[in-house]
Amino acid sequence: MKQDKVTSLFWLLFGIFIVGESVKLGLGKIQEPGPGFVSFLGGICLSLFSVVLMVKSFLVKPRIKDKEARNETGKRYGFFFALIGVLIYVFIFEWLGFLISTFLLVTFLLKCFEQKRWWKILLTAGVVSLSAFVIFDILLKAELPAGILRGLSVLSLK
Amino acid sequence: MDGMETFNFLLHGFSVALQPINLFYCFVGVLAGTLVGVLPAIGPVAAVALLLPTTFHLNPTGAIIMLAGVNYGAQYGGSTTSILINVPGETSSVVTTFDGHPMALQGRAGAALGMAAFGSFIAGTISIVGLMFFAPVLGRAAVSFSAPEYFALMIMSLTMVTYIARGSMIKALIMASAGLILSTVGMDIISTKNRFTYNLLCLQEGINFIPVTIGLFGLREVFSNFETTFKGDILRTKIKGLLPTLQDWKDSILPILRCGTFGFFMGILPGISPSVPTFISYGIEKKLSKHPERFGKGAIEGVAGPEACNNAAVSGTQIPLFSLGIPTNTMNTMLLAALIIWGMSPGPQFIRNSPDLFWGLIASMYIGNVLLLLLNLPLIPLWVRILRVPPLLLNVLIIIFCVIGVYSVNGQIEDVYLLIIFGVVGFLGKKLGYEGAPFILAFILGQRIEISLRQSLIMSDGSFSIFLTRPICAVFIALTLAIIILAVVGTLRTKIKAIESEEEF
Repeated sequence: MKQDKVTSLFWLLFGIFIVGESVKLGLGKIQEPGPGFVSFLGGICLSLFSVVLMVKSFLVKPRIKDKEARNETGKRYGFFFALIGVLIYVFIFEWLGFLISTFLLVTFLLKCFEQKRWWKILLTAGVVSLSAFVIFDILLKAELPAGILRGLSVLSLK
Repeated sequence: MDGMETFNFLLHGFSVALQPINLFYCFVGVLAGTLVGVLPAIGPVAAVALLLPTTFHLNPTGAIIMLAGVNYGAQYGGSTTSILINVPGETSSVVTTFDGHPMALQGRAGAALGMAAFGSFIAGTISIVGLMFFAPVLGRAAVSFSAPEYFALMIMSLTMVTYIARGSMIKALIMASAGLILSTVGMDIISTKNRFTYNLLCLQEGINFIPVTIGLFGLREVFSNFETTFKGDILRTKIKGLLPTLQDWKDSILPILRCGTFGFFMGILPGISPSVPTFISYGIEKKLSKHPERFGKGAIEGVAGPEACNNAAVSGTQIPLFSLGIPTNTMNTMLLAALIIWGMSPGPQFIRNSPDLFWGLIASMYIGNVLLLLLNLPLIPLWVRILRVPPLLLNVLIIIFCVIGVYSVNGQIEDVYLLIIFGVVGFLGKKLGYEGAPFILAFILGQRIEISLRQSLIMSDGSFSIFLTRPICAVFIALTLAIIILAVVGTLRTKIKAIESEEEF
């Protein structure tokens, strides 16, 4: 329920922000609504619903289930590792190109989540990135970035 | 449209669907759908989102045939994991685990898988006949709809989707409002003024729905999968006897026919996901059975009925989409978005204006059902082998597919950032009880809602009473209010019960 208090506050602030911005855009007349009219209505609805959620979160007592859920930590780090991996992947995607960045992403995630030998991880990463490159870039012509490998004969085939 | 005319249109549809290229797309669609249904790591909505960018260069008929194939193929595939490892591939296959897995443990996995496939085939065919007759009728009835009716209908759909939401309705309404706000980003088509773009070029044409959808439904799943380890032991016994016995047929044929028809009609209702009718149909079959005690312990009718029901519901959901242009669930929202991207305008005139597409799709669904029957029975050992692909590798592959899918649309890295943002939003939303379905439905319908609302107000010279004075509109608005009242009464009743039970203690 504490989460609901925080999220409802976030939505309320977001709703108020949208209402303010919509007014700046121009609401028009009711006979001829302006560009900010619908987002204004959306912002009002969002604010109202978030207030309802906030009131509800203060009124309802946390149940045992919620307390249990809080204690359940699970593999929370899993999401963060995956997110870090994906963020780095996207940062280097155009610079290093699809082939190298995908190879690095697969290596990173396999190393983080599986206790396998280096050669097995590198081999898997190599096979996955190369297969994806051949299927999507060469066969399906998906126009993926070549990055620093631009100019190599294989990459200039497309 | 009389029976003969419908038959002629269907023949025309077959001439379209049987073209080698469309046959190929149908095959790819049902194969991908079955695969997606088998793999618990990815759902059909995420799969359609991932496949959507690849369809931009295809002809719309072939593309919609393929995407629809993914949709109903996934319902078939979902049963395999439910029966073999007690892990439903799709939410609509949860019920199949009740009796399917006990059957597998008793050494009757083959019969369960076989009957699931036959049941799906029979019900799928029944529902296509229904779609073929009902969609054009509803489409004709809706020809007289104008802006106010459309606005009221879209609001009703949206409310229904939030009502059916698995979690809190108020959170679903918050998500719908956020989706509506997001749909206004970009240039206003009436005043040509930029809205919420903050001088960013990439926002001027609005927020691209591909990264939003793939993020919310594809990447979100992967992030969640990285938190929980995929568990479930694959049945090591050999699967034999896929053809059900005469007794199996005797036990199952009536449940298949009953649940198939029930699923189809339930599918027409806005906001009903295929999983809801399967639970109800299971309950009905248990009540009607002479041996209800067998349910949950390996009754074949407990597999056949719900499997028939979930396949029939898929076709039922397509009636409002093709006849009114209104999607009633997330999957159909994706199909609507695809139709809009290909330059189509789904609505009452759609069936008349695009006979190739509509009737080609209907015919392809007959063909797809036959293909699925052919695929499911002999390829079951292959699907079982696919289940042995390490889940970690599978999830890494899905990340790569998500990025390729988004990047290849415009070749813009900003879209990939948007993908990650919505992947994180979807992941956090799932953890905090905010569902993606109302958000994406409001986001896709947002522009149409805005145009119809503004047109209605111009028509009525600024009076909101236009939504109450027009009869069809008034019915939709009354239904919307009824849904909201139902939700409030339901919540209050639960609260009172909870307080009473606390007092008893």
